[in-house]
Amino acid sequence: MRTFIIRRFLTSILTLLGAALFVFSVSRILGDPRVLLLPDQAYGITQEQWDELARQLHLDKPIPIQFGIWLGQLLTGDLGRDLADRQLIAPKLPQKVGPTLKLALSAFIISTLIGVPIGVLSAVKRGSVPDYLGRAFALLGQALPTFWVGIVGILVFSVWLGWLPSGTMGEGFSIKHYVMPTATLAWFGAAGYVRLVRSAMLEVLDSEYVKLARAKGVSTRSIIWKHAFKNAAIAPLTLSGLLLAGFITGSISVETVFAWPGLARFGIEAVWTNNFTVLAVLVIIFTGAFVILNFLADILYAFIDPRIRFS
Amino acid sequence: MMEEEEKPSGTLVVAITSVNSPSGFPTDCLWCASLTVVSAQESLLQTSRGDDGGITAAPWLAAGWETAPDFSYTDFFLNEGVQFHRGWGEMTSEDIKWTYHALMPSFTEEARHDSSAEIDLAIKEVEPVDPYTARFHWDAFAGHTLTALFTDANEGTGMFPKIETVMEQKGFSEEEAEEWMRTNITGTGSFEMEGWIVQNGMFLTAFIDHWEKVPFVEKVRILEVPEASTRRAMLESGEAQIAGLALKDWPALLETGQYLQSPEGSKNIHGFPFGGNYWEWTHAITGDDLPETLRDTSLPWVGDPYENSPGVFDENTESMQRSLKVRRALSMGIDRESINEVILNGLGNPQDLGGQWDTDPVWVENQDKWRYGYNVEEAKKLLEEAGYADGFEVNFWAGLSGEDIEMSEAIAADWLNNFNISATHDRRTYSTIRPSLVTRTFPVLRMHGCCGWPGTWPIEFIWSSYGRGGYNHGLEIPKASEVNGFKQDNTDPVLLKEAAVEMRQYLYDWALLPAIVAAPGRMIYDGEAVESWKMRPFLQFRHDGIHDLEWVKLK
Repeated sequence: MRTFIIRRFLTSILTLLGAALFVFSVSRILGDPRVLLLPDQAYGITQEQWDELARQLHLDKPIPIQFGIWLGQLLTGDLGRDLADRQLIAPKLPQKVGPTLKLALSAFIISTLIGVPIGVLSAVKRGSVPDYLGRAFALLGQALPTFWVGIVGILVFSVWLGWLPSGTMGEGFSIKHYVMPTATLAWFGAAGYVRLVRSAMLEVLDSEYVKLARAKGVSTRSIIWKHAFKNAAIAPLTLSGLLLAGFITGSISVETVFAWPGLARFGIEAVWTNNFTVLAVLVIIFTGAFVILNFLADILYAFIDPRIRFS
Repeated sequence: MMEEEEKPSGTLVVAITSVNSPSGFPTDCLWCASLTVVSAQESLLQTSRGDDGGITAAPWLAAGWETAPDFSYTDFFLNEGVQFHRGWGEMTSEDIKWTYHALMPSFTEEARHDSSAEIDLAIKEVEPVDPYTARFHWDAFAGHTLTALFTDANEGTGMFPKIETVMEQKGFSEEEAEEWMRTNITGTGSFEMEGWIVQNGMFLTAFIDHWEKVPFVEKVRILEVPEASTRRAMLESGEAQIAGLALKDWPALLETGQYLQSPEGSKNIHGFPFGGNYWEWTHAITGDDLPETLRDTSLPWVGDPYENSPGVFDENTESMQRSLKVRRALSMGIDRESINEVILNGLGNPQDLGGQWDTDPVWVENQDKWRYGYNVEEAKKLLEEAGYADGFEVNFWAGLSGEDIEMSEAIAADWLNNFNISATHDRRTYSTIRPSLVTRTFPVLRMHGCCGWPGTWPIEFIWSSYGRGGYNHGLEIPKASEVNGFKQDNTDPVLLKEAAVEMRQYLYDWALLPAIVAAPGRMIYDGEAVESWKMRPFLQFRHDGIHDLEWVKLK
């Protein structure tokens, strides 16, 4: 088990290093980084000033040393400046990470709490009305674009019924502001759970050991949750890691429709404005989110499945 | 006034498309005007309506001004007792000097204010004569200078406390003070900026020690809501009292009678300069040669007047005449009426030539001379004569979303259908493409709303080398330099108007700046929530048209 965790940990570190190397390489392949930092009107810049900027950015050193310095700065929290407003990036991140994490976690919890039981119910009651309803829920959740779901939700619950706010996080904590963005995001995740849990459970429920358990008179509840679900959980667990990472990195349409001031909008704005310094930091954060969550999912596999633990 | 003595109360929520990037340090601010339009700062002068209905400059932070008879300088006499927010003390002429020098590239190389090139063209330096008198020495002073550059009509600036004050009071080094000012935005306006968070909002509180106008509302929340449908929903559900809406949403709301247009606004003349026509050989101010100028005549709409004899302008070169036919053909190939009806719900006025508001006398009196019409057959004939009967490729830039994108896509579809012209759309943001406008390397059709300046002002610098180092339309036309210089040196309104007409006639004849439609730019507010909103006139459309929030009174 320890070897498994160490191996997975080292792989994760290597992946992060690879991502950092990729980001750094792209920044150098695209040309001299100084042109991103100079003002539009910098016609009168002297050679001395140009060289001084190179010194400040360590461009006068060999590329591997530059990478080492950049990585060191990254690890010590020196993330550079936003090219758009020349402010430091590090103090801005909490303003963006906070809203995204809150939305992602709430959507993840809701989608898991809704999607997993519906998936199990759908499999256990195969061919019944609850199964059809569960499958319809999954089909719509995956087929309807989130931006459309969000806009229709705003029309119905904000404009027509006046129950919920249309957008923004509000000031302070207001649960009302979370309902629609969370529901919109969670529906997609829950739909994925329903389909995956249902198919995994159907496969397990049809296996010989479940039939044996039934023959031995084991209670239905015990068969479903202790024997079947535990064995069917590997695939949903993989989805969990990807889903949470996806919620953290990719809820662009939800953040846009609901004016949610999170990381995804920060990232897409950085793409549009060629804001390379911000983009580089976000790529590392997003890669880190995927790597860490997959690492955690790997560890959970080992706890759930002894074959992984002891292989 | 009784109303000015009322204690501020209530919260005003405004939903807009974008709050852009924060800028509390003048050298950094691309959008310095943001702080004046949200009433966190004030400029030296303010706008008011002139007797002729046009915009004129009136006292604000400066109680008055006096220009030397030889136009070499102007003294601004500051109001006494104007306090900066956060206890930064009284504003003096030293603060004025520091603010202007911090955003002029000739004093501060890193300055990148939107109008820095124009400000630098006009101002030589600022000299504090005494604590309440700031003397502006001019490089070039024209009739429009005070209104254009010193009011909040356009892209002027409000006043920041000088950095030495921050260094002294906080015990900071210069570098630390710069950093502090970036995020602690200070001004003299009716509202204090509590926070300006990118992609989130601007959060303001009434400044009860304001020297002139304590606002009616206590708090203002200007929220960035990028999705137009959500902004409309916020207005309809009562979450916002004022919103910037897509034009297509206007009719349904205005019909109810509950929702009203803001009392003042702007106009957007949507159009596209045929970028890449850089026709000047020498710099209009320095007289230096401009040898590196891009003239890519492989692009059908670009002409090179020097292809036969370098340095000698010849309008009859092959590429000049060929590209003229192409530009005229494309200008005729735009169905402006349909675009107005379909995209703007008929709320705009079709306009064939850009560069002028449809309410400006220069336009009103001459508009019939400047019409291309929608004439597909004539356009096809011209394209055939130019050798492009089989079509070609064009590149549009229209930003990321909104009406400009819809218009350029509609035009592209029409051109493809009628002329086999295939259009690609460059979807980068303005800040990304701006450097190539500045460096005169932008041979692209840039669809955008433009040009709210009165025709008598010397705005021709944006089509000429006069504005080198700053904003440009993708055009450098010797005629524009000539007219710009003339306007800067003359004050006779009749002559200025004649020069404006002459320039626009040139733009029309050479089909350099076709327009599509003049569209209104105003905010929509909820009449059941807002009791009154007094607004001063302005020209530049920032943050969806916010202005004069201190005069918004809630019910």
